[in-house]
Amino acid sequence: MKTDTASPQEKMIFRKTHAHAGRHMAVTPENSTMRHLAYGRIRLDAGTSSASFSNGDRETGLILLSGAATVSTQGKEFALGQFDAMYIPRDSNIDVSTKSQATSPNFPLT
Amino acid sequence: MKFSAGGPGSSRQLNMLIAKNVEAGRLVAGFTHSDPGNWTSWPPHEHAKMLEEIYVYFDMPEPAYGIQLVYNDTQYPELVTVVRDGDAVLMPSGYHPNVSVPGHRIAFLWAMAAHEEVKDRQFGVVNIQPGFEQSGSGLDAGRK
Repeated sequence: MKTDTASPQEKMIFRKTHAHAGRHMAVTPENSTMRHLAYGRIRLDAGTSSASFSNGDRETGLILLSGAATVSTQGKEFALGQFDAMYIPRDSNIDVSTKSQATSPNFPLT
Repeated sequence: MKFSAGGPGSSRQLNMLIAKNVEAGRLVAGFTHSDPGNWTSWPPHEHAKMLEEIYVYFDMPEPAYGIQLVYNDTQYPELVTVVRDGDAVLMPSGYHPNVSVPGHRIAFLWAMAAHEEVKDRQFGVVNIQPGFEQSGSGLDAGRK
């Protein structure tokens, strides 16, 4: 059985991935056994109210867990509420911002 | 797309967010929440030849916790662990049922990546653990 002390290659559980402000990638093919899948979270509030990134060769899914957010990509703006999701193709510049509090996990993919 | 799945003891709601409604290469994603005390991802299924998966637990305020299993052989599980809000579990292969504690639900985002772009990007095409096939995977509604 794998435990939290297993080597990064064998690590199967990542704890408290929601603890970071701003955008934080928790799981990537580089730090895990995943071949393509990556997972990170964007946590925004008054102190850190936006996060920008380019997804390169990864498709991206954004799922808004709580709050309200605006996503700007490919020259358009989208307003997201709780449990709204967006699929964003590769080679996109993405800006996520909030006027209130938002927490969005995202799943960029290679 | 939302649908209910499972019978007594494994009742849950599935929300497919990025699935057949989107033309994508690899990505499939959504979330599931159980009825309190119920199992999800039951009967146990696996899809390692086509898709790898991550679960991320959310909306499970203290003291709620769940138990997540990942195994290819029930007797020698790769993982049996307590999961709480914010934890992520990787499922490169294996059956991956989980269970909530009485009075609390287990809720998790799931995201999958197809090994082979487009071709392997299928939801609900799974192998059910031998012996538990009687009532189907419960995921057929998500294939349509």
